[in-house]
Amino acid sequence: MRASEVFLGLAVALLCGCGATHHIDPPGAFRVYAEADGLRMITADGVRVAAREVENEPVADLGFWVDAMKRHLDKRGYALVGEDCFSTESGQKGCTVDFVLPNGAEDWVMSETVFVYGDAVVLVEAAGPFDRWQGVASAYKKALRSFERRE
Amino acid sequence: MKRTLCLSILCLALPAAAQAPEPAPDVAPDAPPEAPPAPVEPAPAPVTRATASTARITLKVVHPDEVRRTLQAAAEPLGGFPVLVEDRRLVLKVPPAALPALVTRVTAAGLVMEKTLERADLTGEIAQLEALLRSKQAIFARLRTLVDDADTQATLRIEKTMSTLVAEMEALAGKLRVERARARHAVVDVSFDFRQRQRIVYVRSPFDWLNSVDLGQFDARF
Repeated sequence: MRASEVFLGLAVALLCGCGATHHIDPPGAFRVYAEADGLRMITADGVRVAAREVENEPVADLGFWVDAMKRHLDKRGYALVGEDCFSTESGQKGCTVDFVLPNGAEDWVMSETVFVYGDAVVLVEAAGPFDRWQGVASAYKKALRSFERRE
Repeated sequence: MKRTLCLSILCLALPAAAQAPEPAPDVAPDAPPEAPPAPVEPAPAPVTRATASTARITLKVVHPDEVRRTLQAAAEPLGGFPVLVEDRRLVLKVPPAALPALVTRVTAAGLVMEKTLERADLTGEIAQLEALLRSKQAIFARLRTLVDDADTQATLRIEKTMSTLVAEMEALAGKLRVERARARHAVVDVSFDFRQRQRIVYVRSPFDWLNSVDLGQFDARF
């Protein structure tokens, strides 16, 4: 492999924040995809969790992004049903915002957890049908306290 | 004949008169026929306000049947009772004082999607209806005193007017009953459907990454 290719790969990784990994102690009902790019978990009945990073641009704090997300999704028709701001065990502040939306014949829950790390915004997203979500919501929210971003 | 008719009209009028909280003094059946018509008494100032309260709650629950039964059971000790029970809807009535307690029970039973509380002040409307009823009762009583001395033509006209008055008084008494009943019980209307948002629309955010916060895109990325 040429040096230019290595450099390019590193640059892409840095730009998209792929250098960081995310960790959550998985709640009992969830299983982790070990080979996935990034954190991916799923329950037997299909409630899914995924983490990703986006650029903190314009640079803003947690409150700003949570507010922007609530306003945007409200305009789209997502119904805000809960908001919970907390600190992880490592002291990182995060906010979980839960929405309900119609999806086919079912109502689904989409839960968005936001963490701001300098120039990166970490999103931990979870989604599933309402009744199935209710069964795991409490354990999932507890598990979010164990969230860690590792460089 | 006239006496019989008067008696029958009075019989009709009495239930209506019974609806008024304080019947006007000139309604008394033993008023002398020659007595001058008493002026209509102004409505007494209401001591307490009559309010119709309705709480509408859209609740998302996993098992609507179970929650419906639980809420019905919760309403009973509060003096409440169901007035509509459907698969996805439950309407309960409770004494107004128990409304906050029942609303608390309902909201704790699931995920609250929407909650509204409407209060309508019925005091003025009830006072107006009562005043109208008293006024008609006074007119009725005055007409009654005229029947004895009237000739046949006049008696027929008076009887016709009295019949109309009786119908009007009955209608007013009915309205009063309805308004008082509205004030006597608060309504808790619980819907287990999530109907407010029927579809998701595409709205572009000025923040690029927010446009990727979407269930469809989440599915695709997973």
